[in-house]
Amino acid sequence: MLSPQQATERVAASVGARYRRERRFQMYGKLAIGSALVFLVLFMANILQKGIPGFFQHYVTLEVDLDRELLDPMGDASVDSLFAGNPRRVMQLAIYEATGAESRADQRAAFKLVSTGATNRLRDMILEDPSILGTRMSIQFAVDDDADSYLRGFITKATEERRRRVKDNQMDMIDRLQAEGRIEYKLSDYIFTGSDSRNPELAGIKGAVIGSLLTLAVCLSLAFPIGVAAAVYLEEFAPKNRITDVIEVNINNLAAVPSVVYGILGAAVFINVFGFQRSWPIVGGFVLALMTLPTIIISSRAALKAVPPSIRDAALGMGASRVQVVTHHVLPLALPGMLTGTIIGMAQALGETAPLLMIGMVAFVVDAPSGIFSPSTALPVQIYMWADSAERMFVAKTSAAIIALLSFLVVMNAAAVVLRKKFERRW
Amino acid sequence: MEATMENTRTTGTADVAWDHDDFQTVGTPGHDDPRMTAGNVDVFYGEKQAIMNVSIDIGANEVVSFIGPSGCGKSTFLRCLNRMNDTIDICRVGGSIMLDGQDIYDPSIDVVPLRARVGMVFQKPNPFPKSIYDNVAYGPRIHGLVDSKAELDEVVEQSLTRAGLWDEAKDRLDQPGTGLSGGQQQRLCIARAIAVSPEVILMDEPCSALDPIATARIEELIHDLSSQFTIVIVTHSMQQAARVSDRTAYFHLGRLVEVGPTKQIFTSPQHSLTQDYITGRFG
Amino acid sequence: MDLKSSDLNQHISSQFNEELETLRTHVLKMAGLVERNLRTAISALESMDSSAISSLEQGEQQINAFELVVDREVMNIIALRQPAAADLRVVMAISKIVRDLERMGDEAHKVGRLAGEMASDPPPAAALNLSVSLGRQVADLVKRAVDSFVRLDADEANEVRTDDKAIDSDYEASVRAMVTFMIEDPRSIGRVVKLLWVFRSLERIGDHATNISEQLIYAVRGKDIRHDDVSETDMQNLVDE
Repeated sequence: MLSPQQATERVAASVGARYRRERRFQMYGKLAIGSALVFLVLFMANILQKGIPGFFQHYVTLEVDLDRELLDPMGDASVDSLFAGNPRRVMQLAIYEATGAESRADQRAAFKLVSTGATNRLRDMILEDPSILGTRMSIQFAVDDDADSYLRGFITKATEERRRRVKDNQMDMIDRLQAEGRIEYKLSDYIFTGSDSRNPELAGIKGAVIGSLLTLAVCLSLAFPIGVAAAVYLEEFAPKNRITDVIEVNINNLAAVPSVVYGILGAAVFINVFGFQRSWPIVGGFVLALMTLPTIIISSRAALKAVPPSIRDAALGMGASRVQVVTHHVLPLALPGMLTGTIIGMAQALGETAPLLMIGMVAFVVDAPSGIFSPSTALPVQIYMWADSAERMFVAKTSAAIIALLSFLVVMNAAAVVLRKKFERRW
Repeated sequence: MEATMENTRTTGTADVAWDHDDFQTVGTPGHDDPRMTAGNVDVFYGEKQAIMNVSIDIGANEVVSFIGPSGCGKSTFLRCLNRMNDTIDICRVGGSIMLDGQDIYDPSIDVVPLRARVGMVFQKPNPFPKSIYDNVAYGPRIHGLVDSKAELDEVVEQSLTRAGLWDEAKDRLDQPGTGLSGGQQQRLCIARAIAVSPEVILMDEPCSALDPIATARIEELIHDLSSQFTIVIVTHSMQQAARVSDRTAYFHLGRLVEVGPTKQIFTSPQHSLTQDYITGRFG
Repeated sequence: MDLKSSDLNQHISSQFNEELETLRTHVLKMAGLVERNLRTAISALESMDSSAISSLEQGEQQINAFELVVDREVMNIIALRQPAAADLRVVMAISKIVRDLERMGDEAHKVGRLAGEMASDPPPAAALNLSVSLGRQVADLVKRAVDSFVRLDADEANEVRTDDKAIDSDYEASVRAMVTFMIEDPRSIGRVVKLLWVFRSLERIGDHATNISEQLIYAVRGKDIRHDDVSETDMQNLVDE
């Protein structure tokens, strides 16, 4: 044994090394967090830098003669009549006038400057307010993605003319329109209201967002009740024996199964056996529910385990039946934890691409889905498809969609945190 | 009375070699007016026997305390009295435990009403994370003891009054029971237990988490309640057993070693193990 | 169950063991002083010697001091250790035993004082011999009572109780003998009355020795054997009144 004095001396001698070790250890931690932060910032900066322009696009203002004969040949402003009309010609006249194109070559070039969505826009405006027929008014149209690329400076005259998609005469026309103040750079109408399109300037995320929400709704309404019921049974009622052990191990294993496997399973079962069609949100929802179930069961069981046994004892000691113990006391206390787990599971499902590819949600769907039984795509799949597209302007759209997806995830995770904070009880 | 049984023991330790067939509880395990009667109770946890052949009467309106070193089976035996051990899968109970002449382990007995008749208060104050009112009202509600809100209000007030908590709690009935102090929480748990008018109240070390003043209040409460209820209390504090109980039972390694009037146990125990425990020679 | 002297030092708390041991040692020292004073007083009686009085007074003062010390130790143990069962009985018995010891000391001092007073004018030799003989018996009884306490020997203590009855009858016989002396020789009345006081004190010392034995039996066996004329029912009736 050391005397207290010797002990004090030894402690004093060792204390420096100990503190150095502690500081070093803390520094490793800080370094780790720092590098994680750097990656995150780089990633976010990159996405934002690429994605924010995706929410904006160039518009050109044209004076349009809304000729009654051309647009509404039957004269009753009905849908049939409008679709029988020739808004293309009206647009041509307006663009020729604005650009002063006279030769056939110039006229063809000029017409290409405006997005092909312009005719639809005219039709929609007239449908909304037929009284504008026969008048002359200035209307903003999205420019074609090639013209947009030129306006954004992606295409320059430095490139040889035959190698670029915007020719010299088109560039001159654009420069002229810009000089006249007809070109405006503003928040895109189409990004939130449009669905998928071959033309980047018309493509939007609405269809994908609705598809994702429908899929998630199916997933949640399936996975949450099943997951919670399974967790409650396993945790509160099931006897502890070999069978429940096997079940528990398997649930834990399922949580680690690659998601694409669930996609193959879904394709085999829901499409081939149940006869659902590919690309339906209900199939996606089923598959994602399968995938999130283990997550929900595991987190729900953890939440149930966290309820102190003393509460169960108290209720049992009062003569509550086991079901009453669960419904009156355990579930209300475990619910915030279960919801947190569920939301995190949903967020995971929201970001999932692979299983949806396997069940055909990768289809090109131009309209927003009308329900869980109509073909649809999903946000992450949309990102995957756009990232694969050739057009220059889809790069920005892809990043814009990623920003939208991340926003959803942040909102969901924030909801999880808020739920936890709000309902967390002290006992 | 001289000790009537022999046992071998090595000096100053708890190593006891029981002679299984001959073991007899010393003292007076019987009672003239028994509310509960345990006869030859054995409890097994899996292969391990936790309680061996325990027989004891719990008299009407008496306070019986169970004392003994940790792991002696006193809590296990207490939890047999309202079948709280049922919640443990591997636990088996043999022998008979009668409540008012009815075997509570009979297959025809439903454990839910049984626990309304034999209430329980636990070591750690465990009010539900609900309001004070809802805590007390919980039992009457689930057992359908009241027909109207007014009746329920009355039961809540009476229970809180009897538990000595009414004056402190009457202005904050809608506040969570978990916001009370430890001693108040334990009295709330007692109020919750007596709200269903049980015949017997089991208390499992009810004061072990409380300070001396709160403990004294609970002890006073136990004394008051003993006029209406039969109370069985497990305690680690021998002084507490001495203060609150009419009879004391000493458990050792799953055996009921000695039962007797508390005054006698604490002045002249008959069994050497009891003597060693209460004089602080081991335990 | 019976208490054995080895039981007193087997508490988990060694400090408590020491406290009990100290208490017992102090009682034994006090008992030793009482025995010594008694013997001194008896030999003073035998030799009609007045010089022993100062040593008696010194012993008496120490005995009184021990009473105070032991009482304080008993209070401390009860307050701080809350003894139970055999421990409680031992401590309670000790607190009563020291009282008896102190009284024995007083009586021994009184015998010594009377011996000193009688030295100048001794009583008849036959009478004196009777008192010395009773004194020896009493001293022996006290020694055995103290021994039984040392060994926590309830059987020995029981014998002390029985033997005190013999001393009581010897005392009565002696008193009758003193009366005879006084009738035979009325001039000796003054001296013999002093001797009667001596007999009286010796008899009291024997009673105190009995008390010690009774306390010891209670401490060892947990049974109160005082007053065999009082039954459990009598006590219950008294409480219920």
